Amino acid sequence: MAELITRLREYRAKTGMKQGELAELVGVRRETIIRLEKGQYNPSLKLAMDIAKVFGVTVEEIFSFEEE
Amino acid sequence: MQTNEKLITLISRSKDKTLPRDVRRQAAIDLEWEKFRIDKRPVMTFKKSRFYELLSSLSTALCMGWISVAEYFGIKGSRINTFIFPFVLLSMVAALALNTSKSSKYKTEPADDLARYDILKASNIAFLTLFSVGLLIIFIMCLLSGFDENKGFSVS
Repeated sequence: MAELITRLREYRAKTGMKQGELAELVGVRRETIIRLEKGQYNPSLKLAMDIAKVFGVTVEEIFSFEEE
Repeated sequence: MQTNEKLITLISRSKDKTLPRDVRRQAAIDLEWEKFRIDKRPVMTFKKSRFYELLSSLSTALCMGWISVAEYFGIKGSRINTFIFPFVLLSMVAALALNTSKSSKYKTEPADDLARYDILKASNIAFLTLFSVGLLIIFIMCLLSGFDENKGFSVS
């Protein structure tokens, strides 16, 4: 089964954005961002698109599937 | 759009019955987040706020439970109760005061999908625990009350 890979932490580090700031921008809790970065939570389509919009990239650049 | 106008718009959208439920629900969520953004107080995490609520709930349960236990075992007027009950009552008042103080000084993040899912999971665990503890208490009370083979269960 394919595993969801997230590069959220890298993009956040590039822009110097804190977890709380990103969470506030996309309308979720900081805990949600933490879990997303750890790969413990799969984002909804809307959330994934909102996050991609914040960084100005496509959804696939942040979230991708890799075969185990 | 000015913040107040945005809030008014969101409030009216969330209460407009002519709109679909999904739209109203989303407007209510957006309203919560907008209020969160304009609130200048520091943020308390969801877990911390639930921890303080748990403290106050536990202390209240402890106080009420102690009253019931003291009544059941007939130690209401005893020295043990006179010694313990003030501390139990004080702990309840202190926990409630702490919870109220923290709630007023800090803002908490509105719930999102993950938080609602976690709340459902926690509620499920809480109900199971409550059911198990309730069964255990009933069992202990039956043991303490005694069981008469001829008369069945009786509370003496």
